[in-house]
Amino acid sequence: MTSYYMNIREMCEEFNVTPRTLRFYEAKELIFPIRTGQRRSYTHQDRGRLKLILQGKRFGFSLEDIRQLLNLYNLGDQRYTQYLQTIEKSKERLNAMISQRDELSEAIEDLKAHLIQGEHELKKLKKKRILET
Amino acid sequence: MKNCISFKQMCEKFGCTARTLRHYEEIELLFPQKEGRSRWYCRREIARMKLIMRGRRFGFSLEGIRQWLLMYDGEKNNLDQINTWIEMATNQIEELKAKRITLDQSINELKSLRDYSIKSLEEGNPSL
Repeated sequence: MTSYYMNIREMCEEFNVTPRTLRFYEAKELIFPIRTGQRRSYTHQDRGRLKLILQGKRFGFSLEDIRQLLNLYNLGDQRYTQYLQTIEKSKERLNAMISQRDELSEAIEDLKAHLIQGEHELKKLKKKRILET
Repeated sequence: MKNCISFKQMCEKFGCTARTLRHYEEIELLFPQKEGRSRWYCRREIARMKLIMRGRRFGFSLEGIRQWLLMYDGEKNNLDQINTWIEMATNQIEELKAKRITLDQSINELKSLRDYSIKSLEEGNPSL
C-alpha cells in the first residue's frame, strides 16, 4: 500500500504528469498539497482530485469547469448539484465529441478516395513509362 | 483584376484569419499577385488554398501539404512525387484512425460518467 502522503516526484510517476503541471493545477486552486517550505505533500484527496482533473481534460472540459465541478463535492447536498452539473456538462461535451468524430470519419473517407485516385494516377504513369521505353 | 479576389475576400471565402493567410504566403504556399500594397488572389491561388484547407482538415503538416501541392502543380508526371504522396496519405489515414479510436474511448468513458451521474441522481442517495 502506498503511504498517505506523496511527494511531487511520486505524483509525477503515478499520474504521468510533469512537476510544472502539478504546480499549475495548484496555482489554479484545483489541488491543495500541504506545503512545508518548498516541499509539497499530496494527500489522498489530492490524488483523487488529480485523477478527476486528468479525466476531465480528456473529455475536453475546461479547467474552470473542472474546478467548479470538483468544488460542488463539498456543497453538503449529497452531491445533488454536482451530479446535475456533471450531467449537463457531459451532454455538452458528448455532442461536441460526437461531431468531432463525424468530421474525423469524413476526413478518413475523403482521404481514402484521394488515395485511390493517386494510386490510379501512379498506375497510369507507370504504364505510360513502359510504353515509352 | 479579372477573376481575382482581394486579401479580405480571400479570408472571408475560406473562413481564415489574415494572419493565417499571410503565414501561408511567408512559407511560400501561396503566391498572390501584388499591386502596391494590395494582394490579389486569382484562380491558381484559390485552387491552391482549397487544397491547403483540405490538407489541414486531413491533419497534414504544412510541409506535407507542400508536397501535395507540388504533385498537383504541373508535376503530375513525377513518379517520386506521387509515391511520396501516397505514402504520406497512407500514414495519415492510420493516424486519423488511431485518433478516432482514442476519441471513441473518451466518448465511452464520458457516457459512463454521465450514466453514473444520472443513476446516482435518480437513486437520490448517492454514495461512491
